[in-house]
Amino acid sequence: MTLALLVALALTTAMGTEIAVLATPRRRADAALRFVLAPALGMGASTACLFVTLLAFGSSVAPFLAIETVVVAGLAFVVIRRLRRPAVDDVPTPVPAVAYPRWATVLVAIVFAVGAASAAYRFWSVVDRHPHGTWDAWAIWNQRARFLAAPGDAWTGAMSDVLRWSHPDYPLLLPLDVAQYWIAAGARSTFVPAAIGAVFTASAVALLTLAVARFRGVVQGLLAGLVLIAASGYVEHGAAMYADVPLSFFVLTTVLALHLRAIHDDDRYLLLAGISASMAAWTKNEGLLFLVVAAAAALPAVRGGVSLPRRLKLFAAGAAPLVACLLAFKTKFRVESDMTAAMSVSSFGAKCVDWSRHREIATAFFHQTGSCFGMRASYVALPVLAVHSLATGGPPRRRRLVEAAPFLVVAGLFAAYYAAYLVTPYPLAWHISSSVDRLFFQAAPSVLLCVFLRRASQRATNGQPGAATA
Amino acid sequence: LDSASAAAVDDVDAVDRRLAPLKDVLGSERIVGYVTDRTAPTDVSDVNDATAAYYKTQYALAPVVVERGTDHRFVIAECTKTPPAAESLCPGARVALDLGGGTFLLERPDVR
Repeated sequence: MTLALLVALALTTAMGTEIAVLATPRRRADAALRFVLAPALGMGASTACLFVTLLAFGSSVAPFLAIETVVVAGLAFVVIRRLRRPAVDDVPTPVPAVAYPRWATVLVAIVFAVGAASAAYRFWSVVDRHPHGTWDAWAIWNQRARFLAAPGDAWTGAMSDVLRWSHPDYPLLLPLDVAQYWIAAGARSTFVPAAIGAVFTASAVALLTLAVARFRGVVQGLLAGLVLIAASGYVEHGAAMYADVPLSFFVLTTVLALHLRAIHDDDRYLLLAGISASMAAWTKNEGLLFLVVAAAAALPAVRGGVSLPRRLKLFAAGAAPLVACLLAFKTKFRVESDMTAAMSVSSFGAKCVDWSRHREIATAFFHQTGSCFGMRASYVALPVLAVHSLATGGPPRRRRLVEAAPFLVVAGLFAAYYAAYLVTPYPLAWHISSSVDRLFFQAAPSVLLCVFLRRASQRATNGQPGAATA
Repeated sequence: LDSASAAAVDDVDAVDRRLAPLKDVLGSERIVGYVTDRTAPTDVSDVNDATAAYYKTQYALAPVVVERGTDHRFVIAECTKTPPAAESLCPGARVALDLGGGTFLLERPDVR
């Protein structure tokens, strides 16, 4: 391991920690959240430094590390100023209404540990057989990383029109992430994309587990994490080095930030929502759709919250750096998406009223819901979880719009997927079969969060430990 | 990514190793051609062996851009037939390097 690589890793970690500290209110309950968010946020943010380096200097390790150092130092200055201010009052977090016996907690923890070990083995086994990743990894993401890590200005070749088949319009977060460590190491090790896949996969599982545990107790948190790692293909997609797992992490972070905002009646979580939604947009084109949906979800007001312009300002402040990168990328290279390029607006109307297309998409979504969570297991596990959720959920009550925002974001994401399939210029059956599993994995952690938190939106401001509805 | 493809062992690493010597030969070349005797795909949804072989070649050679066709000084030829007839895929070219496995680097003296 070279010194430059160690420095790059240290800077990424520092940047992620600083962003996690700045993007969440100083609340003791958020300490674990910041710890889980830091690695992935750091990897997301450091790609902006490499992108600026490439634009200004080409691919070169010294300017890249210099820019990262300046950013880390600047963020450290803001963090220190912030830490001098008094912390916000710690607000009680809703605690689960159902207390599990200790043996049940231990049992679920053991099952989770076995599941995590099994997932780690499955991850390793895919990486061992596919050291360069599977199809999309070497045809798109790692191939682009090889361009971005090349000396001088050879990186621009990745956006060549000749390579239209490799989707040169796709945003650059994942390939830049891989390239930054290749540049720092001075070598193209296949370990780097595999390690990045591992960090994002583990971070998504940890974040889901932590989030559900915080609001519904340790047992429910472990069960949520268990369903995700048992999902047929989620861990494998992470090991395959696809961008869908990193995207799913950023979607989950955004959805969780919106939920925390509603729970704590605290608009400052919109900064985190903006950062993570922009990282989603910087990861894949679907993330751009998600950014728009998430920005709309930032609109509803919380009680005692700030004005609409200030809410949008908070969200935009978080999103601005990576949206700027995205705009610079789209403006500089002007590569049109293969999908939009092939679309014919005149055929939209006919496609929208073609009921066979609706039936085909709905059927695919239905089947994917089952296969996403393990076809055989899920038809047993999901009803059990649903019944359990109902049994422990307390009486139904009216939900404020701001509390529904996370659920609306996930629904909006699926609506966007549905609409994209409806008007796709490609043969529908082929388009669905080649992408629907990945789309579902992008949303899977967030769907699980919504399922497990379905009734956990009780505001915490008046909550007494044990009194809030789980 | 279905369970079958996750379980299968691919040959990307093998292609990567086979084409590794080209990095030195191609030097500062930014774009090369590519021909194969495999059946060409008919459209975007026709992902056949020819598509996979071409994509793997591009992955192995990045940051050199690999363009289908013979319009460049250097052309990668992938032959599946025996005996391989790389030069017939690119008339006027000579074999600059035999990389094994039916893969050749052709050079067109008439293109600079």
